[in-house]
Amino acid sequence: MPASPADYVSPFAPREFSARGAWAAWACVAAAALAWLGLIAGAPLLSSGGHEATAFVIYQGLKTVCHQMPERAFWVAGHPLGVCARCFGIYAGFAVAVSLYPLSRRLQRTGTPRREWLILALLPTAFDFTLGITGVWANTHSSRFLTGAWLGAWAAFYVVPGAVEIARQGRDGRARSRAALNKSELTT
Amino acid sequence: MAGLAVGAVIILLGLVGSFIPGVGCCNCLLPIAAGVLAVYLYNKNSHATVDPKDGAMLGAIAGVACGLLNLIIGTPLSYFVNSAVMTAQFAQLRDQGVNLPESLTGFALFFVMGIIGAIIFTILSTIGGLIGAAIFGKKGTGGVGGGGSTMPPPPPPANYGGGGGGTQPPAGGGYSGGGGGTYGTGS
Repeated sequence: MPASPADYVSPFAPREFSARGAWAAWACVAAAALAWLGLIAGAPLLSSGGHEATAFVIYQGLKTVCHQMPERAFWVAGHPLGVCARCFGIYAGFAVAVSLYPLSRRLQRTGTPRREWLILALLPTAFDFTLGITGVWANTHSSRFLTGAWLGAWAAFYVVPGAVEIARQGRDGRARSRAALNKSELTT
Repeated sequence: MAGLAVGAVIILLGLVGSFIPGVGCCNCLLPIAAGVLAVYLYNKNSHATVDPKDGAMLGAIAGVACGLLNLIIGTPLSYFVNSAVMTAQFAQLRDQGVNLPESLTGFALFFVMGIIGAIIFTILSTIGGLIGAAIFGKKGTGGVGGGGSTMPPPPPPANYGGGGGGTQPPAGGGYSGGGGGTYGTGS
């Protein structure tokens, strides 16, 4: 039995992704970002709490993405964090921005800022790093953390819409599969 | 291939950086940059739209390539350079009463760390792929890979409206186009 014209949905018609799906995608990203931050902050706490082996594994795992120089890291409970101040800034900025993302934009909107904004967000970190390594300016924990946090916060505005979009595509894929199944059942 | 090439470049950068004081500070950005670069290279050589799902996949491939290359190149190198320090650190931990598995010494330890590193590389590189898709993916009307297109919508198929009498849609049209249209599901 052919479908009614009223049932036709153009593949190019703008579609609104359900708020629940967008919130779920956002929650996954936020949970992952906070868990990652917890891992970094948890290493010194575990170390001071006597769980040296667990802390050791975390420290060594994070060593692949950070030099972990103690003099360039924040210290908690008498031990350095799992990553340096700049890396911690990037991850903390990202986690905070992801957590506060729904306050600044509608989650269903999957547009992202222009790429120039990300390059601009990278500039403070690049300046801080370059001036520091060339000896022009001695950067501090605060400058490394703040410039890193600025970059991490901007990154959230590119990652969250992408995650929401992936969730939307997943839902659309499932809907298409269901529709194809229904169609084949009707024809048989 | 782009992922593998990016992986090699990133690993080389990481290895060079690890021997220059202070440069290793940007190591966390390298896997993210790998994801972004993989999407950029793919997008450059392909006219297809890179949506976030593709970007994440490309980033993950680049991350796995980075991780494997790190495991093959970086782990042995790290073992020869740092094994004495690591052995001393292990001995110190055992002296403190930490119960570390006896089998986890020497190269095995470095191998395990390499695998953990590969997982971390993959996660960060996937994030890089998402960012890459956002900044390099061709944007349509629906936002990032939102299925937007400048093409006009295709006509409905001939059997709509009671079948018979309708004209056939032109070749190349259809429902399973890039926009991912749905057939009467009312999504």
